[in-house]
Amino acid sequence: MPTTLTAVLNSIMIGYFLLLNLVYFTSSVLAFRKLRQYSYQLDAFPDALLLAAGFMPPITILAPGYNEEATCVESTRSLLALEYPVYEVLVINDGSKDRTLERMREAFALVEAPRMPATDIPTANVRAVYQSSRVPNLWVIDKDNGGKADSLNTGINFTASPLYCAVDADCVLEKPALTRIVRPFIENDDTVAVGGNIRIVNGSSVESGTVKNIRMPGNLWAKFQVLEYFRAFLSGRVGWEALNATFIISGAFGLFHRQTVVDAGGYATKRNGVETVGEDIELVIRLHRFCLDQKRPYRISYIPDPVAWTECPETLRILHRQRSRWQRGLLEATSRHISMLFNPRYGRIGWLAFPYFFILEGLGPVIEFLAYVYFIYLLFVMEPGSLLFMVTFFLVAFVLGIALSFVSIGLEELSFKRYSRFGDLLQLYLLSVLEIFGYRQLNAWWRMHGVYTFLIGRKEWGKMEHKGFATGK
Amino acid sequence: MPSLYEQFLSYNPDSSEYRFLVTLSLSVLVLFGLSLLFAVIAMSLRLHNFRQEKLWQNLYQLWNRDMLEVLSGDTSPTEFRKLVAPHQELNFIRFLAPYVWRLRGSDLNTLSSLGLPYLPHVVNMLQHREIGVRLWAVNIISQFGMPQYEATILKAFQDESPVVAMFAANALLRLGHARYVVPVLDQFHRFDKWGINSMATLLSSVGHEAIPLLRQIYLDPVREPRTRVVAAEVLNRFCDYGVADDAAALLDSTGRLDLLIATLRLLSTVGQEKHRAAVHPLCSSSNDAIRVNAVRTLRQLCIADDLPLFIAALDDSSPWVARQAARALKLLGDTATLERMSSGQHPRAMLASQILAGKD
Repeated sequence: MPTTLTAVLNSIMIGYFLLLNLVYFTSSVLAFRKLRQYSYQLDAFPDALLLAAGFMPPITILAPGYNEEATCVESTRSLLALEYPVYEVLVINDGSKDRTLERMREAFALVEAPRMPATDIPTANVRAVYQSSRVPNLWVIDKDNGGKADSLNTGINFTASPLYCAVDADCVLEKPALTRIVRPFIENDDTVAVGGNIRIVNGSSVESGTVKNIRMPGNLWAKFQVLEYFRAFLSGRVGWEALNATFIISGAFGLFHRQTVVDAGGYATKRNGVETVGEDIELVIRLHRFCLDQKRPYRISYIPDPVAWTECPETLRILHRQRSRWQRGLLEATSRHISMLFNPRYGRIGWLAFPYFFILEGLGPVIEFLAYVYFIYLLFVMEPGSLLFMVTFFLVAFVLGIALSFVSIGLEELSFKRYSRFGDLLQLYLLSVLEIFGYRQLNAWWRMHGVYTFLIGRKEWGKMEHKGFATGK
Repeated sequence: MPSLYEQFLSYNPDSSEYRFLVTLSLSVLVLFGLSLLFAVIAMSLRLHNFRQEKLWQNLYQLWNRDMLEVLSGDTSPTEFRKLVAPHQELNFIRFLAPYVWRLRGSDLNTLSSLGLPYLPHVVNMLQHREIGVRLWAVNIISQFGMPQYEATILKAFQDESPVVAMFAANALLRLGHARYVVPVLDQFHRFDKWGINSMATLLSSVGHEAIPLLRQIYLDPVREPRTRVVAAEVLNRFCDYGVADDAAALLDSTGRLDLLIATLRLLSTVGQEKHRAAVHPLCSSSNDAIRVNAVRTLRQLCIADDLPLFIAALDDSSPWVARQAARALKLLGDTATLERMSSGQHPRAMLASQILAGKD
């Protein structure tokens, strides 16, 4: 290989690596401070005081689901068991082909009930609206299949509360989740959206809608994902929140100001614009853009404590599909708003968050994947000098990866300590080392595949198979 | 092909490549060391936390038993306090706090007196650099130490953090003295990110004694509109019928949207039939929010003469206005209109069915 090409490749890889890890490191440091502040504030202003103050705004929980017969009843029970004074649950059955509706009907004694939509974001046809005759704050909307974003738009249309909480139908929320996620709305009138923390339920048991006996999953792939979620939520999102540049709110759990979302046009679907599998990311980017364009004061926050527990994939096939889809979603969402990139009009979003997520997270897998290919090439070609550099460089990258994982575990220990067994803690450390031998490379490949599917314009979602929650019996 | 080690040795120690390689290798060592350090810290933290938790759990169990005896009068607070070692004093306060936040009446007084002697430690925490710690201190002092620590809280009201200042304001207002209303209102700009409801809750804690002052603030055109909106909301909560005439007059004179809506909300609680005339013109406002609140106010007043207005409002472009109108019709007993609408081809037939079914 010509020396100049080698030099260019080396520079790109080292530059990418340095920049990415600088961001990770900075965000971990910021997260440390933010988590400490958060713990202090929670201690000083506990939920009991907040509830007693009596200024909690009503919330509608929107839980869209497609073929969720395995988990829909248990998740709905968890949604109905939350500690919050005024809320209702709207489950949206997105034309499921399995027994989702029947299971809901049997479990909650649903009867057809009139309910007028309050807004008219275009959506697929609504077949019927049901209300539970046992639990009056539970509603189920049965509609033609239109995708997750379409279901959320349907839910928004039927929401009368000032705030709505979007959750995945297969999620289990912790009891104080709403009381905690609503705090930024109470403390700052300009808040338009707040994201919550997502944790993995595999391995733990769910009883009467509550996660009990929190344990590490038994499945190796699920174990790796626990660690990944630690890094993403505790180090990553908390760090971005500290910079006041929250860019992603997971579709699995987020609270939104309904009117602002309606004003911004609702979730992106083929009916109101461009369809994307990253509808959650796209909405947050659009909210930033909409408020900044309109010069509206606004705030988008992330709170690390309110937790939604979700079932993660346990097979490589499904995990591949999920990661590839996430990558495609990120690229679809960011490319739709590409004019925000380095645009001074969008402040720290245009200069910090957008470039990071678009270039380093969105296109980074290409560089990362190329680095692995290049490494293999050097092994075969045995180009003296370069190989030594690459081996040393990879060692630095691996050890830095381990260090960042250890920091995330440390942040968890400092703040929430959900995994109480000492064995679970040791497992997490071991996984931090293990994941660099294969799992990380697989991840890079899946994400690379996501970039490819984005480039060829693939649109489908792919299937997630649910096992259902363990009941601990 | 030379081995990696041989390749390394083949570099000239003065060359930049050699120095770069050495830097990379040192980085590996440093990072590895740091990783181990993080792991050791986290694991020691886990062990420490576990031991501490166990320790405090046992102690809390003991205190819990004795606290019940104090509450039932079997043990005196002085006897109980002898069980608290000097290094446990802050934890004792932490133990008592959740009970103090929940209890009322004589039990609250008993518990407050238990914690009162330890408050000087907490007062020192008002100087802490962490906002959360200062906030906790203000909350604890206000729960355990009022009115004895009124001056301390008044000082905390000047804290550079608006959140700490707001909690201090809350503690002062809860004393029930109207004299604190104006100083708190003067600092309202510091709390401008907090919602109107939160601010109204804060001011409501003063009690009815503040009504004349709040009325004055609400009607004062020189005051900042947001402050007037909060005052209107508090008067609404207090059901201050005495302000109704002035509120109706204000509908004509104010151009501020938030104040107009707050006034309509106030009139929906305290208004009377004679105030309808001031509300009627607003039902045809071009602003959706004004129309919704105007129709809502008329609905609350529930006067049959407004039936035609409600029927017309069923076709309003805003579904929220139509919803208020439909609810008004049901309240006035005109279910026939709703039934006709529900069984016909009216675009809002579903709304009529919903209201008739009592699902509003």
